[in-house]
Amino acid sequence: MHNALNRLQTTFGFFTTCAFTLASIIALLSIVPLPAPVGSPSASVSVRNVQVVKGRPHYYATKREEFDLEADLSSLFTWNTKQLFVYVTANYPTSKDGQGGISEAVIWDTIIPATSTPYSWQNLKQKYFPDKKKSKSKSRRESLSKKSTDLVKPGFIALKNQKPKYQITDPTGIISERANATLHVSWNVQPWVGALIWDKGYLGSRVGQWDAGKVGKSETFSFPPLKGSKPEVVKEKAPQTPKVGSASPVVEI
Amino acid sequence: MFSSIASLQPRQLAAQVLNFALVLSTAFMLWKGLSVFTNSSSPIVVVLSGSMEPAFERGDLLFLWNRGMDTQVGEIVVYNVRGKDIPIVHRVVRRFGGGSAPLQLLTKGDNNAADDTELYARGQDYLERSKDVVGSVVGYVPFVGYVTILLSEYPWLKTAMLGFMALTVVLQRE
Repeated sequence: MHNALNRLQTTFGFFTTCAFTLASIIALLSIVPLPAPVGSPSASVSVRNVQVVKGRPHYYATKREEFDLEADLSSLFTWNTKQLFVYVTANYPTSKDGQGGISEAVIWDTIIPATSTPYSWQNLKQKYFPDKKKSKSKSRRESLSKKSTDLVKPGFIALKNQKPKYQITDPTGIISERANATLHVSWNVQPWVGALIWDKGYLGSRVGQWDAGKVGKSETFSFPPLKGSKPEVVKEKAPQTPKVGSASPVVEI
Repeated sequence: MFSSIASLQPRQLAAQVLNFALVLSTAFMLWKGLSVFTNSSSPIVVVLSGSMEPAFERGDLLFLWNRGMDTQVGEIVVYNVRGKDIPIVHRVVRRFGGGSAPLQLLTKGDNNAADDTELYARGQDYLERSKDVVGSVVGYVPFVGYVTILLSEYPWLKTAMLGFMALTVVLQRE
C-alpha cells in the first residue's frame, strides 16, 4: 500500500495536477485580463513609394513599396508574453467591382521576443559558468548585444523608408492600377501558455485595444501602372508613361 | 502470479473487462466529441518541426478551432499537403477571395525564409480554406507533446512502456 512505486505515482500525479492548475490560472489571467493593461498600443504607418514591375514568368506582376512605421506596442508585453509578432499587410479589393472581398498580403513582419528573465537557463549559466575562452572581439560583441536588449524596452518600432521583406503578387497576375489599397499594422501575442491573441479578434479588443486615432491604418493609395521593365530581364516592351493623375503617391512630411 | 488471475470468478473477470472497455470508449468519445465541437479532424496536434521557432518549439501541444471560415492574415493554421498526410503548422501570409469566391491562402513558417509554395502539391499555388486546412491555432501548451514525438521516433520506447505498464498491473495484484 505504501511502497515506493505507489509513492512515486502519487507524487507524480500531484505534480501533474499542480502544473495543470498553474497553467490554467496563467492562461485565464492573460485573457481576463488581470492586472489591467497600463497603456494601449498605438501605431501609424504611411506609404512612401509604390512601384509595379514585371516579375518572373512563374510569379506574376510584383509590387514594391516603401513605408514608414512608428508603433508603440510595449503595453502588450505582459508576464505571459513570450514574443510579439508584428506584421504590415497591404489590403486591396480583389476585384474592381468590389464583389470578391478584400485581398491581403503581408509585406513586412518582425518577431519581438520578450526580454529574458535573469533566471532563464542561458542567463544563469552565463552568471555562474561564464565562458573563459573568449576572444576580445567576441566578448565586445556579446557585451554590446546584451546591453542593447537590456536597456531597450521591447515594443517600440520606428522605421523610415523601410523596404518590404516580401514582394507581393496577385493570383490573377495583374496588380497594377488597383485602387483603394491600404497598409495595415497588426500584432499577434504568443503567450508562454494559453490562448494566442490577435489584434483583430475578440480577445485583442479586451487585452490591447488600439489607441483612438492611431489604429495603424495608412491612407488609401492606388497601385500605379506597370513600370517600364528592365531590358535584360523581359522581352522588349515600350516603356509606358504614367497617365496623368495616376502617378505613384509620395507622402509629404 | 497466474494463480491469482485464474482464481477470479467469471463475473469479476467480465466486470474488469467491461471497466477497461469503458475507459477506452470514454477516451475515444471525448476525442471525437472535441473533434465535432471544433469541427476539425484533429483538434489537438503536436508541433513536429522547428519551422515556427521561436513561437512554437518541437513538442508543443496546439489546440485548433475550425469554425472560423474567414481566416485572416496572421493566423496560424494547420494544413495537410494535398496527397500527403503530413500536417504542417505555418502562418497565413496572404489571402485572396472570401465573400462568394472560395478563400485562398498562402502560408509561410516564421523560421523559413521563403513561403510554402514549394511545399504544396505540384500545380497548387494556394491553399483552399475549405478543403486543405485542418484548423486554426487558438491556444497552446509548451513541452507536453514531446512524449509523442519520442514515441514515434523511437518505436522501441513504445514496447518498453507497454511492457512496463503491463508489469506494474500484474505485480500490483498481489
